[in-house]
Amino acid sequence: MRRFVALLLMLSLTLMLGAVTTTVCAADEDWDAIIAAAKKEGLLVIYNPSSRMGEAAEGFTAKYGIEVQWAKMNDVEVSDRVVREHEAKARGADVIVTEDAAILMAQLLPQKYVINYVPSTCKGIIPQEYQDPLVYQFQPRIFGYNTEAYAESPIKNLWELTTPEWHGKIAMRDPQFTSTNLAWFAEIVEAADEMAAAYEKCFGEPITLTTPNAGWEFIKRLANNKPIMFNSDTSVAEAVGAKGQADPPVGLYVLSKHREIPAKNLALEACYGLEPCMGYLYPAYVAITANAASPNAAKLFVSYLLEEGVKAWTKDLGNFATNPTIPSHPDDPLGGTEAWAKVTMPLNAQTTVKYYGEIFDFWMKHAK
Amino acid sequence: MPDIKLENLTKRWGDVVAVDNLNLTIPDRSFTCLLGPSGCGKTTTLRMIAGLEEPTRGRISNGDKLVFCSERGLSLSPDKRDVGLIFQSYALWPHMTVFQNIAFGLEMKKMSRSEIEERVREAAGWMQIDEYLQRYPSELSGGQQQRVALARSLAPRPNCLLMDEPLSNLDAKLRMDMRTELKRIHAETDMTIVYVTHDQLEAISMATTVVVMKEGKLEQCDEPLKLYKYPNNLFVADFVGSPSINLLKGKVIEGHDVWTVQCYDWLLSLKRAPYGDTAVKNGQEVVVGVRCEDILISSSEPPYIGMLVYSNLPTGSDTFVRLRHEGILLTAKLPEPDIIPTGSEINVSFRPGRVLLFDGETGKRISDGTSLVNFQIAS
Amino acid sequence: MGSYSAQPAAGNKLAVHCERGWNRSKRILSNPPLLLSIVLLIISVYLVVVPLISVLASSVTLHSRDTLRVFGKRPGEFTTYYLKRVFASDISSVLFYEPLMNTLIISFLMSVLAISIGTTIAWFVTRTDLPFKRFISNTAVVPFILPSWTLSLAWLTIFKNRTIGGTTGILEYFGVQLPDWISYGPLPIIITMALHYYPFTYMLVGSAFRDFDTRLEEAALVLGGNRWTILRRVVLPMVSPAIVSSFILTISRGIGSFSTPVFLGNPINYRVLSTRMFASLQAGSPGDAYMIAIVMILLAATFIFISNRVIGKRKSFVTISGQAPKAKLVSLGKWRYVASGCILLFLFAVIVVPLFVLAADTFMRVPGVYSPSNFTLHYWIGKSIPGILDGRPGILRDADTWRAFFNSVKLGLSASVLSAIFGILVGYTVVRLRGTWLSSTLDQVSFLPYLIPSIAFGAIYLSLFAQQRGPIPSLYGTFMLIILATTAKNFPFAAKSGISAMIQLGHEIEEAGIIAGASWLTRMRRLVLPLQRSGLLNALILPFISAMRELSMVVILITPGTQLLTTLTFRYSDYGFYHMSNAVVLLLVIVIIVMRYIMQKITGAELSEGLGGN
Repeated sequence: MRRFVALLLMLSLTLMLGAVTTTVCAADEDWDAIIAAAKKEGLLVIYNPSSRMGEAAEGFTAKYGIEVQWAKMNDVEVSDRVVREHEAKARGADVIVTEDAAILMAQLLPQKYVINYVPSTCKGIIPQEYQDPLVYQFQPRIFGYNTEAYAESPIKNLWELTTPEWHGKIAMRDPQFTSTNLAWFAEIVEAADEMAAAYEKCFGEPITLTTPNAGWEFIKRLANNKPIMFNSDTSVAEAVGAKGQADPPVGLYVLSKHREIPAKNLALEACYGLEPCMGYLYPAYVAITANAASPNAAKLFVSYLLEEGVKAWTKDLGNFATNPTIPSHPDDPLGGTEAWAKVTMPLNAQTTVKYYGEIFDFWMKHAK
Repeated sequence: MPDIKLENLTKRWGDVVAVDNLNLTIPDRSFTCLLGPSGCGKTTTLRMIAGLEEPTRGRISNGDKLVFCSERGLSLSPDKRDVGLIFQSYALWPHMTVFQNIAFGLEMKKMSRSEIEERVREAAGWMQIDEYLQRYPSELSGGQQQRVALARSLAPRPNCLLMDEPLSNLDAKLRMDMRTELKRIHAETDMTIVYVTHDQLEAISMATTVVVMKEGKLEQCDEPLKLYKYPNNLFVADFVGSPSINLLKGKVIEGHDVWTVQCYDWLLSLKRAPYGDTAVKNGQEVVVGVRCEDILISSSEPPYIGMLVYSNLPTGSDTFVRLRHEGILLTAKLPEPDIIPTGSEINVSFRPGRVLLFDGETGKRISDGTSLVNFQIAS
Repeated sequence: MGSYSAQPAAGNKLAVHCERGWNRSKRILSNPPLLLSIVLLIISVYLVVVPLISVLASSVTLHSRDTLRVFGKRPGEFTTYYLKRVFASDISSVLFYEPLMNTLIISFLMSVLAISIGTTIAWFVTRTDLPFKRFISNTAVVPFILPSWTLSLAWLTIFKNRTIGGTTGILEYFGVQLPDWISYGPLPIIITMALHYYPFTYMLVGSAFRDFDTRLEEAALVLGGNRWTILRRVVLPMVSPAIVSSFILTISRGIGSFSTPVFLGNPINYRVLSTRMFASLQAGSPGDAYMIAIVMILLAATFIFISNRVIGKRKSFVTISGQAPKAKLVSLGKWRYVASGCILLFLFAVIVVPLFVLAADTFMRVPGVYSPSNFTLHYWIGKSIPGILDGRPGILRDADTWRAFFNSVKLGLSASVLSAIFGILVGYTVVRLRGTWLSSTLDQVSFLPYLIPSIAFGAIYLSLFAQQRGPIPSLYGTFMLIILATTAKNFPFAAKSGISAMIQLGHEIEEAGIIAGASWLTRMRRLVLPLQRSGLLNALILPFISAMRELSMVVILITPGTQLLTTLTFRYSDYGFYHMSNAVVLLLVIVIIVMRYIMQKITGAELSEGLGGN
């Protein structure tokens, strides 16, 4: 239930924020003209954080014959480059993908470095709540455990991660460099009541606070428990799932890493049933740069991405397209975005913005 | 070929004045030596004539051609001044052969290949370095390098040759030989030579004109022997001549017809020379100067005074005797290579007309050459 | 040229003034060294001083991302936010003070260790009858020639423990449980850095020992002192300027060091100033980063000034006038071979073992399993296999590797040629115009980059050239930016070589050319440059090698398209691809050693020459 409310909240707040953003919603676009113009432009440049963009790019090139140069870079790099290239009037990206709501909502959109573009072909298909800013997929980042060492999930409640038993045995991406982890912390603070209830459920007594609320308290105690920091989900997944470990950690990583289980011979499974949540659900936003050199190719790509390109991700477990016509992986045990939204905390752009900076500093202070 | 004239030439480096308002005429075809201690500005002056240093103020002209004028901001580049320059270190280009070194200046004048060839061989022949033409400077001895440097400067046939202590890197014997060479070159080419040195013996023996400088100023400009016999001031008198002139500080007791000067406990009566001397005042501080060879030993005729022999310094060809009386020490040159036993008492006198008198405060020479008429011990 | 009459121009004073002004300007404009020096000054100021000013400005200007943190200000406005945040807020401890403490502690301890090692080896090599002296002398400097993080990677390969999960090091594989403080953090950092930097001390103190006048020792001997006392009370005090000098040099290099703390400190979040600065950049807080960069620059500059004071006052006492006889060597007696053996063992452990370990690791298929069945050439020449290393092929097959290799070579060539040209021209103008303010300013500005630690240098270049400034377009993300930064960082070395080459040449060589009537261009072409030839090779090769192994400066400036071999190592280890990382480092080491060897053969220079520069 809480998830639905959160989702509704997300919906309404993004609608409100829609007033701030510059959304280009052409009522009826002449797609033939756009395609022709795009082909003439001849080159499309994409900055994005995922390596699977390569597949989507290849599909696009195969379909339209337009060359694509894509680069993998994190959100900070994307924003830095977009801003600099905009200021320098240099030929930079045409399309960007980012997972950092704060950067998008507080810097790139309002300061007019990028524009939020929804293709006319998608307007009717993609649910309203995901259009402003435009999201093309969701991913859960969840806690997982090593199946070789544990028959079933060794943790049933998030608060167990704050106990001495798990000191130094929690793997996660360094929140300093992972904006989505920080955004999750923001959600935890916002969901303080829930966290307090979960505490009672875990330890049988009410929580004694040394911080303003149970959310802050959790973050503090988690930091004090010295989680192991990694730079990528791959490393986290490997740290958790590598075989032959006597005492493996649990870890917070993106569900889609399960696709590598066979190739890397990992013993990995998600902690289903973790209270109050398994992790969080974060969106991938796609936008067009304000001074794109190939605006038509950009528009074409966004349309392609939403309709077909996202399959490069959704063909694996752990990625959910916002386009309802595209199904999630058949092995999906829960069945789709909404189901996942119930067992994880969906990220809310407004919450992220609300606690931005504060969360970072708080974490830094306590992680030492 | 014309005289080189330096007018009001000054060179300042910040607060330091290297050359101070120099006015000098270098006569055409002379062998002029710029002589002085280190730091007197002689090398700076040479370089200003060459055009390598820019004077702070003044004018330099070569005949009626104005080569430098500070008022008009005019300064001809060195290659247009028609001079050659020999550096103390020779400055031969080590990566070029002797031939190429000599030919370089001619190439810059855009001469034809054959002309260059001819000139180089001529200069090399003159300096007797024909056989070294294809060698590199590092393969030659000091003396040979010196000759190459000369040949290099002479090949373009400049109207004036400037030399900056060119012999100071050579050993004594080689130096003597080179001095003769340079005089030969001067005689055979009719060039004006300006030669910088700190060695007064070199200057006196080689030059036709010697310019003595001190602390940037011109002290005296004269023929060598005139410089020697009639130095304008104490500095020149002391600098020129080896061993240096004997100097006695004293005071004028009486200054009319016959000057009586008291030096320590000697009373010297000096008769002035017949032509134009400055007058002296009673009580004036003076310095009496007598050259070693003008001290007469064992005179039988007065005026003379007794002194003790303090030490002998024989050189083989002469003997220098040091004579002592109370606080006065004189060096005399014996006409023969004899030795007078230390401690013996001898009579000493001064050659007539050869006693110089200088003003004690300004150092200027007061008379041409006085004669001693009386020698007394003061009571 | 027309001849001027010796009489002054008739006419009024104004005409004379005008004429003077005109003649003067003509001469200034046709005075190449003057014009050249002005141009060079402008270039140096732009490439050195302006970036410094820019970083100062950037540290008090609100970054566009931080509008969320500082309300009421727009991007680009003046703000003291970063000042407060880094020095006086409740996360200043994490952001600044702890990294500062860590930096100072490890630099100090590292230097003490380096000095001890260096002095000991230097003494044995120069003052005793140690066997195998020549070999030891040549190889003792090798640890510095290798990239500074080679030892770190080797350390990890051996000592890595389970803390950060994933693969294990060799010791853990064999069951040895290693605590965190051995695998990561200050201890390995101090050890590996000391082992990398001791060659400075070895060379500086070694040459002081070499120049030391034995007669001082002998005088003490005659008066009855024993070897130990003499060593302690005569020899060591006399070479103390060299020891102090190398201590300060080592400390200031330690302060700026980035690569070692990154590999050995980051896994347990042990940060020093340089890695903290980099982390702030990665986390999207450039304001914090620039503040830290400024502190690093001030620290390094302070040390250098102290060094100049200390050394300037106490000149080296070691040379005494007259001919000092050949030094009498201390006889080690029966300990000779023991001493030699120990030193050789040490060098073996510090050079051969790490390289071997790295090499061995690149031939393991699955990380952590050290058995013969695990042998593979995949990381070198294997084809792409999906699922392994994200589908990357072996490094010799990987287009990325070759691209990085050519980029590195391109960088090395461009930077060395540009800085060699700069060096010659600066040397010429500084020496020719000696005494003028132009000359001394140019001299000092060229020296500035020496005060700036490499990583801070990268940061200030990032800050400056990110936008269009005047006629220069934004160089953000371009290869040109990296070339410029590398060239500028090399200015002190280039200028120093150029100046000393010109001083050696003397001015008379050129003046003889002036008298002969050669134009400036002719003089440069035929007289000055040909005589600089031998120094030129040195001036080219050393910066080339230096550029090839530079990491800390370029890591901030590169983008995916402009990867270099060094940054590729870094990126691979970031992804967790340690084998690839090790393989690339080995490739780099091979390239560097080959280049060094070639240089030695061509110029006949000692392996250890010019190491003081970068």
